[in-house]
Amino acid sequence: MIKTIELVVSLKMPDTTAITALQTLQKLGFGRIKEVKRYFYYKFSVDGNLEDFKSKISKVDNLVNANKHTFDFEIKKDNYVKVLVKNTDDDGSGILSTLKDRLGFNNIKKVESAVMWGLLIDGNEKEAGKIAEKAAKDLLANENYQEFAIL
Amino acid sequence: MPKPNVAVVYFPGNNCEEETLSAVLAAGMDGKIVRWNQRKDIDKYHGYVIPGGWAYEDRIRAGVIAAKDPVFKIIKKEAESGKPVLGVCNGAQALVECGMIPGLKNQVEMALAPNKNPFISGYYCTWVFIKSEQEKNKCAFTNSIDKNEIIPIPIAHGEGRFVTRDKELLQKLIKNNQIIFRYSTKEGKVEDKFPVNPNGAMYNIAAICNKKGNVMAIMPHPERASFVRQLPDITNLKNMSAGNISGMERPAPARKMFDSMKRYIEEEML
Repeated sequence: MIKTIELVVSLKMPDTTAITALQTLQKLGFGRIKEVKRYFYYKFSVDGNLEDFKSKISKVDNLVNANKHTFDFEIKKDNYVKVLVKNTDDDGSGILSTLKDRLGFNNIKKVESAVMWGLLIDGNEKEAGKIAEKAAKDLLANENYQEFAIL
Repeated sequence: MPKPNVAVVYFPGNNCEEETLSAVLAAGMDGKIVRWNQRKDIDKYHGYVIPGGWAYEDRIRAGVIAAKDPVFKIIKKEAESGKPVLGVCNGAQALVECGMIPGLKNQVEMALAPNKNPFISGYYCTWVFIKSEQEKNKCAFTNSIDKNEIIPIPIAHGEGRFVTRDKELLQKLIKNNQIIFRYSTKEGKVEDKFPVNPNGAMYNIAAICNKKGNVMAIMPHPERASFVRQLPDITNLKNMSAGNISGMERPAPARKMFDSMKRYIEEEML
């Protein structure tokens, strides 16, 4: 039976890209965005034992380098509005081929990857969602080759 | 007549500013490398070149942080008055991300997406050929280049694939004569397959200008193909100059883009 599992990876050290995103958003007038975090997001479709898969995939240093990354198998529920940005024509075949052909993960059927932004926004849930959507359109995604979703 | 004076606008992370300035000077223009935050008097220059490199380490997306910099407001305004603006590689990405290219609506209409290459993912560096698509005088950077002229030129990028989600845009660009260079074979045949099209760009697009013709975004590097000594052995020009130092310093075909910029400024701005 095919099951899906998410892997959310972030840097342990200060993320200069997230800092630049915050500064740029504030310069663009997004003063209510107080903090930005960035995550590498993967979604695997897996056939087989999930616990075994979790244990092995978290040791693949192409995805998680224990020296600099921290990871989780779910998107944490916190005060940050999450914006998932994905390249529309990336079918994940590059990562899939590395994991299957070079690292022996034969039980993976499909991989999706994206960048996930976490925005700490001063405002209620509805306002924050609107601000996050505008931030995605203005800076975080180019909709000519990317799509985004507010989670 | 004063010499055309061009600003090579440098952003933190660019790495092609010196060779770009060399090409500008070699074409007979004056020029200076101007930092992104030296905005005072930047409007006094006759034209602008945004060089290649990794402005702001390509954080978020190639060219997007530079595109949001206040200096671009000034460059946009000067371009509206007719001054020429050339964006090379990362500079081209910034021109697309700030909406100056193709510039038909006041919004970002295109993207330079990650390369599509059957063998290598990410950054790809090689020599290619581009073919001029337009008659002379359509664009400020091709008034010394004949239609169908073929130019050897290097590419060096990871995100160089011109794309758009607007299904009608390509036809508009063709109709408006805004597609200036397309990737081709050495003989000028446009084939939409690797390696002729090295990054999978739609319609083999290598360079696009705005409707007015004074702003051009080009992914290949004309400044790296402006002297015979820079050319690879795939061209006869270098072999013909072997052992001849002055011959090596002669202009290579891509220099004509800078020659054209000079001519445009002299005819339109001075």
